Amino acid sequence: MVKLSGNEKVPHVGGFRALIGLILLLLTAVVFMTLDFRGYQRLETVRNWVRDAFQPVASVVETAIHPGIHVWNATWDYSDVKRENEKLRIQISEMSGDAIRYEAALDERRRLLEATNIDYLKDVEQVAAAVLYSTAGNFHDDVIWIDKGRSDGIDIGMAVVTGAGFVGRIDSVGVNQSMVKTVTSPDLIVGVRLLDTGDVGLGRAVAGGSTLFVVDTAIASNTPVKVGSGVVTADSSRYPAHIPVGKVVETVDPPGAVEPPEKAFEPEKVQRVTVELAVDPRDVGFVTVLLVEPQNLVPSTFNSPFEQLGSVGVEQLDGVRGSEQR
Amino acid sequence: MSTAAKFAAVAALCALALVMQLTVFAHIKVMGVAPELLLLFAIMSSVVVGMLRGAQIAFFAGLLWDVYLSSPFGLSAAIFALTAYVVGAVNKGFFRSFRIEVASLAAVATACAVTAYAALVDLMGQGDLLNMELVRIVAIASALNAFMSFICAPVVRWFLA
Repeated sequence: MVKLSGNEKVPHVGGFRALIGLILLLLTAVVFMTLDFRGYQRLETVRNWVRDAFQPVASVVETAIHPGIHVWNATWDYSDVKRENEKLRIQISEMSGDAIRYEAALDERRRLLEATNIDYLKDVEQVAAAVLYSTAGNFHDDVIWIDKGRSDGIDIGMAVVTGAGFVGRIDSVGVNQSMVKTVTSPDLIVGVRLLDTGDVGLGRAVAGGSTLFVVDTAIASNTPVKVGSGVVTADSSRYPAHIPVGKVVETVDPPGAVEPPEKAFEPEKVQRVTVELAVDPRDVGFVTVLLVEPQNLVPSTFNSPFEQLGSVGVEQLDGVRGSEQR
Repeated sequence: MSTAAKFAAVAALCALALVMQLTVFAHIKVMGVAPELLLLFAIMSSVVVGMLRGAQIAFFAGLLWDVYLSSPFGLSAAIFALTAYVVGAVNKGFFRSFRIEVASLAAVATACAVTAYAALVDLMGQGDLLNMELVRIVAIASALNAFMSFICAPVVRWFLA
């Protein structure tokens, strides 16, 4: 047997002194946590400095190990790749029919945009970014890290998208990297519009790392929401409008909702619309950041549907404000 | 070794563990789970240098790891320090620090620390981590850390003893 460290060599400090030392460390940790909870900005600045300091080293190592990673993945994930290939083949055959319908839909949409003069992200300045890693630890914490930061014009609150749809918002910015809070985070509240009815509501992801998103405010229970219809960011959202969010997969009426509601926004007469997100942020390799000045104010004009939400809505909006303050 | 040299060694080892965790083990995972390298470094430090200095090193390693987590800043530091303290105390009283003992200690300490982290994150309302997935993560991360301890322990001892 090989001894790693004999007890006689370990410099044991007296029990009481060690205990006091531990208590001081724990108190320091509590102070840090309190500062973090209170949104102490300098703490975030220091965290960004550390990330910025490590990023070049991590990039070099990442580049150096890249071939080895490919070999590892090819060795261990071969059966998964084969299965995925088979699945993709089936999807392609199904999509050949969908492609024609998609073309028709695109044409219709183009004409609609011309008619209504809406510029869907046409003039929005964008920057593409690679995803560095989806989560730093073993737990999915609904964030991804991207390799672009303040030096590329990115700021907190900007929307992050892919071609498929909404990915999340910039939550923290360093010089050359940023943290994106993904749409799968229940903390991220998004103003959305249902495409088939035009109704606007607030939604958030279901906790537990799923790709389900629930709109449970402001959609009246008598609104005929079709399963399969699209959901996009609302005009009054903090993010640019018309970014695809997902498709409706289920609608649930509140218990006892038989009569049409007298007031559309009574919380007890609001239906719950479940949406399958268009993008699973854990699977994206590249994203686009929309360099639009973040809107830090919740819409408050008369026409804003958010203003008429009632008590549930106010609670939700407080959540929005809270996250904006971070 | 002078105090400054030891401080530099701790900083270098922490940085190495962090970079490895963020690069190599961001890709190489066993059933979606990577070893908890910074936690392992904290545990090994405590085995080598004792409970107080081990807890101090663990606290520093935890703070570094907290920079990259979305959980409250300082949470990992507190858990790492507490884990290192307990490991130091247990190692002092019961173990003679043979490799297999150190590996077992690493596995048990990792399991406790990861579970405590998940429980506290859940308690603080920062995530929903107390589920069946946690059992899988704890089991695999503990096994990986036990395995990695055979490499990590001599390195830490060489630098810090």
